[in-house]
Amino acid sequence: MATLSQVRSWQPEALGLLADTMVQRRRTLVALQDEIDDGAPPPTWAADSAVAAAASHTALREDLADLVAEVAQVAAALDTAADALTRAHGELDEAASVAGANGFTVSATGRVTDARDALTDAQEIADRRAVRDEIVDRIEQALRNADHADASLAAALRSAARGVDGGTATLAQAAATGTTGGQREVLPPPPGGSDHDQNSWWEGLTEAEQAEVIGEHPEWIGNVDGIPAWARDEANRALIGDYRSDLTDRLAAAREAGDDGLARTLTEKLDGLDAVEDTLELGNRHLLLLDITGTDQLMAAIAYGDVDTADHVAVFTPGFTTTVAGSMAGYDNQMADLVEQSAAQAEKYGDGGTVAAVAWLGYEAPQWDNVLDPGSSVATRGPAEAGAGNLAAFYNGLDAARDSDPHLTALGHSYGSLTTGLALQEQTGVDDAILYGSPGIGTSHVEDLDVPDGHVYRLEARRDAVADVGALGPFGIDPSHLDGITGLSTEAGSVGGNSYGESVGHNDYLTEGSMSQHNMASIIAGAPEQTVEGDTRGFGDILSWPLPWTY
Amino acid sequence: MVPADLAAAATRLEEARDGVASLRTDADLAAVAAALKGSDSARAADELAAAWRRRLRAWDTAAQRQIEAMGVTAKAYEVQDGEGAATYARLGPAPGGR
Repeated sequence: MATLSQVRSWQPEALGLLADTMVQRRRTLVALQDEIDDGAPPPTWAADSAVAAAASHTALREDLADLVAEVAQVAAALDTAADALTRAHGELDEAASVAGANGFTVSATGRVTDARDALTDAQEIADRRAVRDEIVDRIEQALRNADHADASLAAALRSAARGVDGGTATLAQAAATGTTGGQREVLPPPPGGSDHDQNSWWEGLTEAEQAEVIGEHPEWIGNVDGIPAWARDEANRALIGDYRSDLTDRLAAAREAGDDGLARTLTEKLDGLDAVEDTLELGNRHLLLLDITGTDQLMAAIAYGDVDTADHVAVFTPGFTTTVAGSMAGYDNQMADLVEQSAAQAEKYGDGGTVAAVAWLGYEAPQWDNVLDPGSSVATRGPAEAGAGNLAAFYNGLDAARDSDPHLTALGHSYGSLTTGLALQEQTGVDDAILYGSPGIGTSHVEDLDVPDGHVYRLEARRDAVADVGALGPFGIDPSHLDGITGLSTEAGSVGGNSYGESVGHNDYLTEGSMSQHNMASIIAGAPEQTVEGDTRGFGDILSWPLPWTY
Repeated sequence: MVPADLAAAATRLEEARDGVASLRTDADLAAVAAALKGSDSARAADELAAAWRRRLRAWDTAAQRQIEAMGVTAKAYEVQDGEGAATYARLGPAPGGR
């Protein structure tokens, strides 16, 4: 790969000027069409020698057409390379800017050094390492983009050196053929790259290349964290038809083979695609994830609002018995209501910012069918652990896809709060976490969560038995007894002259007009002072009281 | 054959030849090496410049030969036509002529 100093020394402006020169050359050559046509043996020359002369003239004309095609190809390739290298320089400038703003230096060889030394706080060290990694990722991707530009240009030049067939039609036609040949192949995304790598790769593409990726390779980006939501949405929508055909074919095969279990699974996935399409038809939605490869379930995530631009973004993770087919419509509706409530709160009490929320069904939540299966039972951490990594990556990808981080709130309900709690034990950039109806969050110590102190909240409704089973499972203690979590009220009450209703049971937390929904909306909106704190403790909380020496 | 048509075609071909010869696309490519020092593109540009030099020279030579051949053909036709005219002149007036 080219070095940083080498890429810095490259001059895309000079390439751009050369591209302009080549375009002029191409035009000059194309303008010779009349001369070359008029130079053909005239029809008044009727003899054997005229036949030979015509053959010779045809060879001249076709050789000239080849040259035109070659010049046109080189002009197009130079232009593309100039654009790509200009962008690579811009990416390096941006990396240097981020480095400078955060107290890092970038050497001529690309080494990133933290100018601050003697850090002792573990969290600060981790945060600075994350910033450094981001800067390194940006530099590496810029160098990869520059390398690709060089490789593509070299390939176009060598192709021209080998000769390009300009055809037998006009010189203008030959120029068009050459120009098409000068377009480089789109660089595939970096395999195994971080969300910042993916974002840098995406931003390094031209608009035409981005459109080509969405049109020709939507599977490259649909579920890739770090890619902007609008692009993921377009890619995933483009894949729905293919997925439907694939699942339909497999369903027919399963039925023919008499495999009822597989047929049920495939039917459920197809129903899930219907639910996704029905939801998208409502508008103002982005399909951020669509995955048919799950063992038992379709996985999907739909955003209400624009997570690329919203000031406040919430990501909701549901739990036990959740499926795309059966749950997406309801959760999407709840997210839409929550966004509207949050936006109203932000307008009235907060920064007036915009809000978006995601219903993230990006893992195979446990179901009744496999309650006895040790690998996927709701009584185990297995499904949550399998989903937590993807959820953490999703949070990080939302930040990586944007120029500035949003105020990010993680919402986890029921078993989904365990998935959320496990995800938050990784570095995620989440600013607030709300865990409700939670049987446990995967730890008995709130400081294990990578969320700022005082920004983890819990809600428990009256007669929500699930929220008290923490002591029974391997999920950590009942969150009601965790130090450092702020309890928010689920009871009826009034705030700012508005009355809110009580939530009762396990599935009432996001009911419109409830105190529970109001509290969540206030946190999402960045207006925590509008919340009403409270602890709804029942008999179950007494039973789940942890013994101090057991955790 | 109309020698004037052949001459006109040769003239136009000569114009095309001049047009192609005026382009120094091979020399233009030196800018790639200057703009992208140490790159693979710089090496590829050298390869292309050499290929274009060869091809432009070959095309120019072929065009020149074509133009010359057309000129030779026209000249030969004129010579033969002149000889034919002289032969007919020597035959005198046609029988029955006055």
